[in-house]
Amino acid sequence: MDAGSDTSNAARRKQRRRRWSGGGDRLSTLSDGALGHILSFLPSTEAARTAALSRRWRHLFTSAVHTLTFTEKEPPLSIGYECATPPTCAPRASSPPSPPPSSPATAALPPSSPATAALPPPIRALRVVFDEFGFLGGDAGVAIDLRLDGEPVCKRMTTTAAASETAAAEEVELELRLYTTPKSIFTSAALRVLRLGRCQLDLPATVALPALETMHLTRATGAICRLISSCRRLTDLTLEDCGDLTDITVLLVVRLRRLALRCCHNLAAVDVDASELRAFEYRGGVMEPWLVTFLDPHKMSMCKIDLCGEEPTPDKLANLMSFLRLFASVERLHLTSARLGCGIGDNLELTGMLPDDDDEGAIAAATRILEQTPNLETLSLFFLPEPHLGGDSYWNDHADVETIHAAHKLRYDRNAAIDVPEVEIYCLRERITEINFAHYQGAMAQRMLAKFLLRNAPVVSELCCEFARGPLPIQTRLMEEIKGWVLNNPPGRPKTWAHGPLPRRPHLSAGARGLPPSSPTQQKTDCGGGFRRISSTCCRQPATDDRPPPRWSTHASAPRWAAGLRLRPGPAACAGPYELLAAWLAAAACRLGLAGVAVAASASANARQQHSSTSSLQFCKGELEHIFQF
Amino acid sequence: MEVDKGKGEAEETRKVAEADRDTVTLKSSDGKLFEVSKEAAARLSTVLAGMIAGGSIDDNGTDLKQIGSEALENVVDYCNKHANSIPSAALISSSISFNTAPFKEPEEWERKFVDRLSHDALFDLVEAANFLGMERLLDVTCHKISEMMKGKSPDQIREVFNIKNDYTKEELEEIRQELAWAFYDD
Repeated sequence: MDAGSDTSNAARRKQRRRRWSGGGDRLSTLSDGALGHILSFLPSTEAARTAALSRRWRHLFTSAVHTLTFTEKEPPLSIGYECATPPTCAPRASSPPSPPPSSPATAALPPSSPATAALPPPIRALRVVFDEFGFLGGDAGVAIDLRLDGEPVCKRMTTTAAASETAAAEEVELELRLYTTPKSIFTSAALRVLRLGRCQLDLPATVALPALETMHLTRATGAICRLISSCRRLTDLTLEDCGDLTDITVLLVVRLRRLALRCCHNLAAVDVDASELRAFEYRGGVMEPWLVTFLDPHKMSMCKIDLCGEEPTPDKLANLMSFLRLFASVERLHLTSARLGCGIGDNLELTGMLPDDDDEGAIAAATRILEQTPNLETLSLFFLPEPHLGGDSYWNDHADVETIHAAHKLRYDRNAAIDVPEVEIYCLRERITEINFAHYQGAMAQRMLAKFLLRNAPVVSELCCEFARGPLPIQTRLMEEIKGWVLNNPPGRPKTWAHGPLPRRPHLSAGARGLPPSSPTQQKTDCGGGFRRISSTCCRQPATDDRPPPRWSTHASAPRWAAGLRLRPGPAACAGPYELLAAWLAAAACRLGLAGVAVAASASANARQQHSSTSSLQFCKGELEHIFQF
Repeated sequence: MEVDKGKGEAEETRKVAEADRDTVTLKSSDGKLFEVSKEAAARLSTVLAGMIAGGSIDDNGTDLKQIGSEALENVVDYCNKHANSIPSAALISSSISFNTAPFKEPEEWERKFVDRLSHDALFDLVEAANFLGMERLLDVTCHKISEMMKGKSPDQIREVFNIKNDYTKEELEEIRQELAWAFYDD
């Protein structure tokens, strides 16, 4: 460039400077990307404040900023950090929710998604600068959240065979770019919360995190186990999608109260000191139960099992049953399978209490459930008795018969009007051919639910109702009532069995007829033994009974109905794992007297093959968990 | 090698150039031609690099209809200056290291380069850099704008950039509450 052009440039520049603030609002007309870039150079508090400039700026901070910079005056730790993420990224809003914000850094961190649908750029960098390095204490401690890519943790969300193939293809394309964590993170005395995403752990020789309580690792690689073992005060641990994690040992972390293992699909062995564990969350495939050890899990009150990935095979489901048995003592078990059909094929059993004050809830819940199960053919409801106020006498074999009868009389109101809605539920209208009620007491809510189901189920050809023990006249009336509800327009006339107290068995206590399977004698038996007994109590006479074991009680005149009676094979012979699972859940529910309601989903193993492709899709949308709102 | 004296001279230069030239000619929206070294263009602008690699560079001047001549002049000016400054390679390689700042502060000459620009020229240059995918230039110009915003209240920023406040009082209060952590932290 020669001198001449330099001077002419200078002249022009002077000219321009005069126009310095003449024009309109050039800044606001820049593209979102450019503005986000500009804001990324500002301290994040200042950048966030620009939302107040004008409507144009309202959502820029949450949608366009790619670098967050925080300068904290107080607590320790000095971090300067950069991470380059691939240019395409899912919206940040999909990242797991953070705990309540304790500092601006965490407050801003998963920025709330704006109303606009545009995908925000991935966060490229987070810089947190603390002035006083080495400062100890501080009330809130320090929280670091470096989960910078908001991609869904697991791509195995939908699990129809076709979908899982495409997901697998996507996974191959995904370029994994890890950042390496700074060593200084792992020696911070004040660090209380640490959340890392997609990173390579670079641990120093000694990990010293004396204050760390919450750790959340997403897609981390490296010495995860060593890190966990070094955090003795850890109370909350979440591991997500740590692909190279094959076994995890949390024996030294004795204070652990919450453990979540999500989608660590290569995880095979888990060893946990669960003496303080309250909540356990698991998402993934069915694990080999003998490789999972929970030491002393008596405090566990909440357990969420979410089966993702492909629909489990029957032998996997057998594993699932023993896997779930590990959590036999939890108060609330949430079972979610990615595909509702995983639990429910053509046979659904619902077990739970139906208190009398619940009138609309049960019908609404049943509607919700049935809408999700288009292939359902058999519906069984097992009503748990409400816990008796006077201790557990009701549960006892030797309960005062008078008390029970009195309770029955109180509950039953023969003149009550029972109004139920007419609904159009596909499976109820077209598919369900068999409905079973077990331990039907005739309380108002139960009658409503029964009427609701029967009135809307025109193709039912088999109806079985087993009554809870109670006075015979009431049971007879209930039986007549039920018969009256059955719609009489199926291809064949429905066969109705309603079992009252059997004349042949006057001493009711011996066979524990209609009693919940949680009577003390059964509690002593192990779960496996319990299974059979539960199903037998639900569906047939207790095993102690010397009668032959076909399905419902061996009524004196049973042979008359033999033509309509489908004999189900006994569980020991070839019951599908689902049925065993269902029975087990029912057992667990009874044993604990759940405050909520347990669900037993039952399906024969070959039910899967009966799914048409469309119904499979519908299954995907449903979650078994809904059932717990029952 | 900057040519901004008009079409005639640019064409002369082009005639002199060999078939295997090491420059590319860019044409602004108002028809002015500029030449910039091929190497610098490819290195600094992802868009130009793509065009060069894809063979879509027009010897008679690649049309850049979105960029005015003043902005393009600045772009070319920047490219040439950048070519002369040594540590450019270090700027581009993005070493991912925890303790190195991800954004390298503008160098002295870059600072001077953006400081001399008028308000409008600065924004034109941001748009041009954005359009051409010139990461470093975008960094430098955006950094300059962010410095103009830094430490200012929303009112002051509105004044500097002529931004019209189209919020109602209630809306503003709502925003202040939503972003309380940003408004009341000091």
